Amino acid sequence: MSEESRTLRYGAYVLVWAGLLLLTLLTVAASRVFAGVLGHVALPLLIATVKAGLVVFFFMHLKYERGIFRSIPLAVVLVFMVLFLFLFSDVAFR
Amino acid sequence: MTSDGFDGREREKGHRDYTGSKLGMWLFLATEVFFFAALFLLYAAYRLRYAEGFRQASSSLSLFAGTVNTAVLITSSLTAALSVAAIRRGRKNHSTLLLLTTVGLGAVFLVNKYFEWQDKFSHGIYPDSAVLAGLGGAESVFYGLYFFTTGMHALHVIGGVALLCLVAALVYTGRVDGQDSIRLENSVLYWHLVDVIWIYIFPLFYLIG
Repeated sequence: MSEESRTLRYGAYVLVWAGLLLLTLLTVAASRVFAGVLGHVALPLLIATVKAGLVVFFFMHLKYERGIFRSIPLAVVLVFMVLFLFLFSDVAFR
Repeated sequence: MTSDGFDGREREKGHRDYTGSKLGMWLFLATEVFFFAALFLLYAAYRLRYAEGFRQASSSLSLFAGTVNTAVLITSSLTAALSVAAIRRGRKNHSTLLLLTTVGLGAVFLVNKYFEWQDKFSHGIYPDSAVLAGLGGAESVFYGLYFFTTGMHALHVIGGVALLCLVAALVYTGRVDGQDSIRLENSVLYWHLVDVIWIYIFPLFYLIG
């Protein structure tokens, strides 16, 4: 038997899709209701990360893949955080 | 099929390494993410410097168009994921139909983008235009980033659409099936990435106004 990971039931994908659409509406609403850094930066990016997480873990199946697959997005996120930190430790103090 | 995945057909095609193929695809997707991450970092740095100008320029983008496009890509990700589930259940025609729906939604996204850009062009706002040069630092940087980021993203959408058309043909003619679905799965992974990138582009460019 090959090491293929199972697919989900059709309904599970539809549920994730509904959640994604809801989160989209939520993020638009948040940006209209809250002003400043909260409404225009923090909340939208936070919700975007939740949405991206849903796509990556369920649509792209990462939740059901073995560890080596998970290490790749993890490495990407870590490197991005380092780049962000270094960039902002410079740019934020100019 | 023998335990190592070989059958008569396999011997014609040569050995397929399902896990290796998928791993390779994830690594490639990581490089794509870094490409857009660089653009997002650039955006972040300039946003810090030109907060007010970015906010003003962002309000000139159509929130409605952006939201619709987000919904379109999310739905296309659904149909793409379902096409993989379908092929795994041996439902070739379902899978093909779902792939073509994905392609159609990708086309809708591109048409929407075309109208958005056209609106900007008609106001004289395009890369290196005189109008843009006259608008001042903040707005010209915003629009420069906007055109480059969404333009690069649109190129990825076009590439994904072409790839999915090819794979739809392979599925329909039976050359990709439930036993040998990796080419479909990898193409769909690429499509999901295109969706994830847009999921970040949307708040950064459309929601700060």
